[in-house]
Amino acid sequence: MSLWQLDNGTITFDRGGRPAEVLLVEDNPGDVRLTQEVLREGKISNRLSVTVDGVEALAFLRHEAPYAAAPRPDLILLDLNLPKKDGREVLVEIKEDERLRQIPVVVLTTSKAEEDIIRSYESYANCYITKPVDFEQFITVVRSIENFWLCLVKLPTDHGSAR
Amino acid sequence: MEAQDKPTRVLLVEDNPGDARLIRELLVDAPAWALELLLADRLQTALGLLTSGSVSVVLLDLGLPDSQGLETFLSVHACAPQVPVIVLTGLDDEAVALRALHEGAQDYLMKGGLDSGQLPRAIRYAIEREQAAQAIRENENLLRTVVESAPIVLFATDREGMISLCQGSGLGAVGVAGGALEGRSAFQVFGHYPDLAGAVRRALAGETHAVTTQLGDVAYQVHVTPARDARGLIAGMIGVATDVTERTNAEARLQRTIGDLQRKTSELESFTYSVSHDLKEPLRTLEAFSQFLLEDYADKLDEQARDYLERMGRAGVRLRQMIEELLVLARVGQRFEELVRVDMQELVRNVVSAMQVAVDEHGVRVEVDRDLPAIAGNVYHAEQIFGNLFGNALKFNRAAEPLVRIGVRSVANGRATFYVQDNGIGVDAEYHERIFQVFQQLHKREEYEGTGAGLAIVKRAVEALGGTVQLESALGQGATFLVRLPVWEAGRAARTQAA
Amino acid sequence: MGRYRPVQVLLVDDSPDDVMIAQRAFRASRVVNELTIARDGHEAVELLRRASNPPELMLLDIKLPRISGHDVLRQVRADEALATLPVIMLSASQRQEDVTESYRLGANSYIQKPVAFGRFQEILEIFATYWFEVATLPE
Repeated sequence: MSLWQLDNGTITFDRGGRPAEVLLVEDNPGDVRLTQEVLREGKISNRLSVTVDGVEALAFLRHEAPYAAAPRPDLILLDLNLPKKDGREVLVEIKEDERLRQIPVVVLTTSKAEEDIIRSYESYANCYITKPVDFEQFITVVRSIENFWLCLVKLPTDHGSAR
Repeated sequence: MEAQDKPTRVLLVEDNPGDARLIRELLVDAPAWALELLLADRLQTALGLLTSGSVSVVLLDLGLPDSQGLETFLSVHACAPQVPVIVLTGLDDEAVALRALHEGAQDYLMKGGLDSGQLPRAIRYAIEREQAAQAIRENENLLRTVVESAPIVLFATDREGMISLCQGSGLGAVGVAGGALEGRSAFQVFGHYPDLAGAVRRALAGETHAVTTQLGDVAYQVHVTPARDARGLIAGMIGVATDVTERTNAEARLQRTIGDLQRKTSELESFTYSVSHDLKEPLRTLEAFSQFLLEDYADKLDEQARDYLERMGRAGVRLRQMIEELLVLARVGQRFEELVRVDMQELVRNVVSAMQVAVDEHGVRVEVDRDLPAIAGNVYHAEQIFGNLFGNALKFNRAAEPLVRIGVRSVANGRATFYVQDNGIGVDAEYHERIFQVFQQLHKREEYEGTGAGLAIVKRAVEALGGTVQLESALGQGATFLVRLPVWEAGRAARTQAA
Repeated sequence: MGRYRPVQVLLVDDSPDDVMIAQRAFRASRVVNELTIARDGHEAVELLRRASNPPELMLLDIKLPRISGHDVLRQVRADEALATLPVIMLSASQRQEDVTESYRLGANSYIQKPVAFGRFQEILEIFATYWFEVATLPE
């Protein structure tokens, strides 16, 4: 499904044709690389930024040094188990921040614990996904994320620039 | 001095025969020009000769049988103010002679010291001086006439701001008589009008300045400038005030009309948006249920019935496309808050990549210039402009090797002329204007997809950004759309969209 | 990954035609689910509070009679028992204000109702795969 079809007649560009900005908050390098690969080969043009701990993630979102020129993400993929500042805290802080709370946050974590699931939704996570161990399934998950969030839904940051 | 055509008539008013004879002899000896000497020995005779003949100059002895001293001169001067008078004096009359000079005599000569060079010279100079003075007087009159009849006010002050001149029919608008303000201080007269007083002050400080100010109901545009003397020092100021009330009123009316128009346009566009938006709902029903009918009752419908349903479905699709395009059309016409910097290189890259599927499908080669300047505008509008032009370039191109080029043709006067060029079917010159109309199509529906609002959207979006669009094309020779848009000037903050 | 069991979905939409279209699309989709319908906001909230088998996900239109979809969203998020219910806006509006406001009020996502029915089915496939297979819904 492309962003625009020739026989459609009407020209509409989600995000003005600009690549979608995705922030991945993940400390496992293997998972980072895999996610990068899958998104790079996806059909929706996107740009992936990575932060490896909770402190970095918030600095990125708040444009604090060294992230003064960081793009504003259209979507955040958030692991829960992070060094320096836990993903659960990061989620709460994002959803309590007036300027950040409308950004969709997808919790993407290994934890299957009921408590984590409920707590995440209670903290206004937009979605909770348990990372599959299986390689193939992981790819399917990332594809599905791409299809749903970057292609299908309307995002709060669609119009206007990424800054 | 050049030779004169007619003889110069000199009127000698002298009652002493000895003096008269002496002067006659001095003049007879004078070379170079023809002189006619008239003699009068009394004031009355002199006056009579002055009124009847064309006397060029008067040599006047002040002591006459029927008049003495300054009175003599004043009578002669009053009788013929244009005729120069040279007073002839004795040694003890110098004071009176000086007074006569003050009162307008051109010169005075001592009878005792006259010689044949001095007298003719004095006569010549007196005549020339009078002619020069005459010319000046004529110019002044001309200027005065102009000033008094033109709807302006001409005013001047001295170095201290004392009004030396205030004339012009423009004064009528504020109910002031010409000359009425002369002799008064400008700062006192303009006390309630700080703009005017300030202008006078600035001119007296050496500055040329213009200001528009309101005096009651009247709006004046005032130009002031310092007046300098021969040494270049400021001796006063001169000002010209023009009545611009009518123009100011017209401008205010125009602004109101523009405001009304803008408001109406904005209301219309909101309305259009709402309407299009609400139309989509029943449209969804039409499209969906005719399709359900086709799917669910396929075996119960004959070919005719299926044909009917398919036509309905296709009509629904067309209707939907038209509504969506009207939505876009309304949106590009809506005012937006500020002009921002739009990176055109990035925008065009994104547009092309968003349509990559179609590009590949049609095997089109796309060339984009590397030096596209940033524009002052709006991302949504720019996308619609280039998206639609690029889409059309892909669509209307059945060339064997389809090619689309996007670039900038020129940058001048703060505007960049972009081009989108294709080697497709082209457009006949006859239709160059019409194709920008909504839903205008130049081909049969089966030949090309689309509802034809794309170019109307382009035009409106371009105009919303303060630009222009035009087409260079001929049938069978491809098409080049030229879009002129304002460039983004470096260092400029985002500002409100210009009216 | 997720479950493969019937998922309870509540659709809140006052247009009977759109409801029928949605029902048909759901029936045709490969992810089994049970679709409950509410015609207005009050009905929806009642259903959520009282149902013995409460919905696990809500598809919510914005334009509703009496109270709007945004009002419903506020009520749901304010209710402790319902605060974690995944709510996906399903609206004809593509206005940025409507989208942003929905996310700010706590909607999980926002889908624009397509006009073409064919698109609806495609959309449903992606939606259902994501929410019912990939994602984990709260209990």
